[in-house]
Amino acid sequence: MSARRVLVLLRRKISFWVSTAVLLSVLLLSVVGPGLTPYKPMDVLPVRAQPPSPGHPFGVDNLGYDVFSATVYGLRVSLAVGLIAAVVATFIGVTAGVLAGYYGGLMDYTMDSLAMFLLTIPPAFILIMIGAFYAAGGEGGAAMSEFERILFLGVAVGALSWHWTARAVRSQVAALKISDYVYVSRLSGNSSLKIIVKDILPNIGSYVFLVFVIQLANALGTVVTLEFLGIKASDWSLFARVVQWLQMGALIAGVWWAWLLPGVIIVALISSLYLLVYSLEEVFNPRLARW
Amino acid sequence: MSLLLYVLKRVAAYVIIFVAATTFIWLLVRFAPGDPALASAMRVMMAPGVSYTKEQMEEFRRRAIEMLGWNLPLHEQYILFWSRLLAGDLGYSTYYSAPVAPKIRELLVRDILLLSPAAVISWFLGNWLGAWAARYRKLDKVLLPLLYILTSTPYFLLGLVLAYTLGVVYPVFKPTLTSSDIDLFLTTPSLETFKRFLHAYTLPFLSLVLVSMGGWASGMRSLMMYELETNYARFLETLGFSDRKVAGYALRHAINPQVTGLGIQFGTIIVGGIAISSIFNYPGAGIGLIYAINFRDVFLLQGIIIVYIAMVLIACFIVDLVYVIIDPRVRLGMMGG
Amino acid sequence: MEPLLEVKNLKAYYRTFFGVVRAVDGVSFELYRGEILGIIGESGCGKSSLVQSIVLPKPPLYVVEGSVLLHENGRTVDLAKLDSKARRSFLGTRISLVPQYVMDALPTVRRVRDVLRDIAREKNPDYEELRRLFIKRLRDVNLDKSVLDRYPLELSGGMRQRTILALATLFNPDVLIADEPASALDLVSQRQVLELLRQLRDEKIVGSVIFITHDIASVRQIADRVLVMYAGKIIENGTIEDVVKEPLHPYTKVLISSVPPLGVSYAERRLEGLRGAPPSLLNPPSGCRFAPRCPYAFARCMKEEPPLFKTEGGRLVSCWLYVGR
Repeated sequence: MSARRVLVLLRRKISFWVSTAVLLSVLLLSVVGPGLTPYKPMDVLPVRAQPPSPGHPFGVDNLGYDVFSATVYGLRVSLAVGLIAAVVATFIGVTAGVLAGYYGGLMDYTMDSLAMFLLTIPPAFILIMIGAFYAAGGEGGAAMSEFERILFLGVAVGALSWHWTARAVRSQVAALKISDYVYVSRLSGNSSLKIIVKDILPNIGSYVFLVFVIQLANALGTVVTLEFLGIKASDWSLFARVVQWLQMGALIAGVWWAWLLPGVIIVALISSLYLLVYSLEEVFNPRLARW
Repeated sequence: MSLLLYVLKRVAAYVIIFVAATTFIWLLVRFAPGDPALASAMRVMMAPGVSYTKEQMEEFRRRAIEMLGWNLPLHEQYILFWSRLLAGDLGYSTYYSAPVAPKIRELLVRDILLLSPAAVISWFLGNWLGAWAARYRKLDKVLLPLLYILTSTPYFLLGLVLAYTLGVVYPVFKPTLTSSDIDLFLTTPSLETFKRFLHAYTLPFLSLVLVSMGGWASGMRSLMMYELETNYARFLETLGFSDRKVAGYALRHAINPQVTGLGIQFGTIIVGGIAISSIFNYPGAGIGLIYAINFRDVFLLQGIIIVYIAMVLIACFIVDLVYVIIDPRVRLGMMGG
Repeated sequence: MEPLLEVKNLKAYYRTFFGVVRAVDGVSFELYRGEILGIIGESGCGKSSLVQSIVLPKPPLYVVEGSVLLHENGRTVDLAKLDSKARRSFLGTRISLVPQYVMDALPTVRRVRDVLRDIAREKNPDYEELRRLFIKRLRDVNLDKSVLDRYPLELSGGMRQRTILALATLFNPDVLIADEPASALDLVSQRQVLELLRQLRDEKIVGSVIFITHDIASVRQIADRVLVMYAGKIIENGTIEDVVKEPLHPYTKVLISSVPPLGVSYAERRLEGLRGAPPSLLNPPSGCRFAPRCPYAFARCMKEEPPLFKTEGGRLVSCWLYVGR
């Protein structure tokens, strides 16, 4: 698929433009947002439980935090963890998938077993265990700086979610391996490494990109849920205070802006990622398109 | 390879996974920074509110170490852990001030009550919806964004939305439950307790079903779209089969991967259930887990995780068996065909 | 004698993102009862699209113009004008298509008898009777009735091909269309399938056969008449003897001579080929479509498209060389 063809097809796809627009807006918010607000996420204000107003576009929650600040700072943290997780998962997954798909045999079997392990054990469980002792703010957690916590959480989430990628990449590579041009490449005496780098990797490039985006979407979902459960990289992580609010009866008191507004942003982010993959899939694989 | 051999192989695989996961968890607990296990054990022995001298603390520490078996060599500790586990002893919970195992049993019953129907119903609804979307383009255009939004919504968020809209703004249901809402119906079923049960149960149930349904539906949609373009579909069309008949065949093919997915999904829905439980105060593992995390209640945490891992593995195993029945390719492969 | 099937100026195009592909661009021919008609041409010439558009045009393939007249039992039906529901009553009963892709034409998770049961439900006859008929049909194609209880995976390629033939000929269709019936199979099975097609016609199980291939040797085996297709058009139409012994169109000449004869070594006579490739059907050239590659092309060929013309000898050919002869 030449680049020109891809662009022509993309131009007509509304889903692509919508998803990209939403994605970029959210990203912009996380980058520029903190500059737009005078409040820091940890600043406790003298007011409580105020609905959105000109001074506080997202309102103030019932603990005294400006929700907009909490959202944009928290978005940064969640995105950082999510991105690291997606990078790690994609990297491990692609490597494992390529090795398993190309060499087969023992490597394939090992990868398959590990993948099956991760498939059946919800990674969230293990992450809860790790997070509870190493990241949630216990004795272990407090010892790390915020940056270290972000890194740690990101790597942990990524290291437990590569199995899907590995399986997908493996079948692609296995199919490519028996294709004619790889056969010719081998006949011309290229070493395995050279074949992998020169012939196989470039051809799974677009596929890997799609996989990365999906991993990012999944990672964000996982990260946000973990934050809710108390496994957070920083105290102002997006939904880290929800449980506290609930216990204070915030829901019944009608304080909807504190969780709905950040919620809408996160859902928009994740669904735009899925939509992006959907629109790109129809372009990369025209058979799926409906005339 | 016969059916029996296949079953044994699967059982062996799941047992290995269980042992590996449990061992990993045990290691995590054993070597966690700050020795939370030790701290928990000590807390159990001490009376709250009383201040102790340094010597007394030392004494408690020594006794805790002995109770946990930390004075033994590592491999003996491991064996001790397993012997206790298999005997049903999961330690003592500092939060509930009660042994962990019976407590988990309580939580488990209520969780199964919530999760199993949610998992199964969302599977059926989702697949049915996805199949429809694949067949009718107009429906698809409207449904697809909706489905994507549903899958992208974290369980707890939808729980919040439902709790707020249908529990607070229009108080049709209860946004916050008490354990008696659920338990009363189980112990003394009657129309009254059933109504009360529904009043409490519906929102958490809906949250789980709606989000899971989104995932199943979008998956089934892709699968059906693929199956409807296959060679056999085309051949049946040239034989003069109606669209509906061909869709029936496509569905039969598309459903196979969805069945495999059901076992795996069970793990995801458990995690979702945990989140939902904490929002609605549904008396399941969710709350237990949150308290365990916040109160550093090690044994409760460890116990819940291990038991639920076992549950997921059992669910996967059951799904494996079902899959063998429905897919002739696997069956034929096994009868030496 | 009235033809069984009459295709008149059929045009079927693919609507794609990049434009309209004119896969079948004004095809006309007649098929008589009891005939085996072969359609030959290279890959991409439009032969599969032709039969698709006759039997079941599906988006992105649309029938843009023309008619497909089926004359049976004194009535005439234009298949091209039917809506999908009406068309379905003809498919599998009066006109059947045996596809190219034999290996996965049968649904993997159902046994053969399940498909048969569904056929009964769709077409309305009694299942028991249909079953008996099918078993008889199986015997005609040299298969045992145990095939009924099998899954497609348990059948070899040749067996699947024959099962499909049995299913397609259950209702004694007037026209049986076989799209590359032999290409997915090994040589021995190929021969068997061709023989089978002839047998089906001889025993009047089917009214007539259209069979599509790129392999001239197999056409020679069983066809009575042959159509040669190139770039979406029919360029020659005649009896198999005529076309093989005396190919008129330059393209047909190359096609016929491209088959290496037995007993002649490479040193004695080299294989002839044709340089270039068929034109893009997105933007077909004006004038004769074969002109760019034709060794005999002259000025008129580049400008005007030749019609399908009847020579004095009664042969049909689309080439300016023969106009006025």
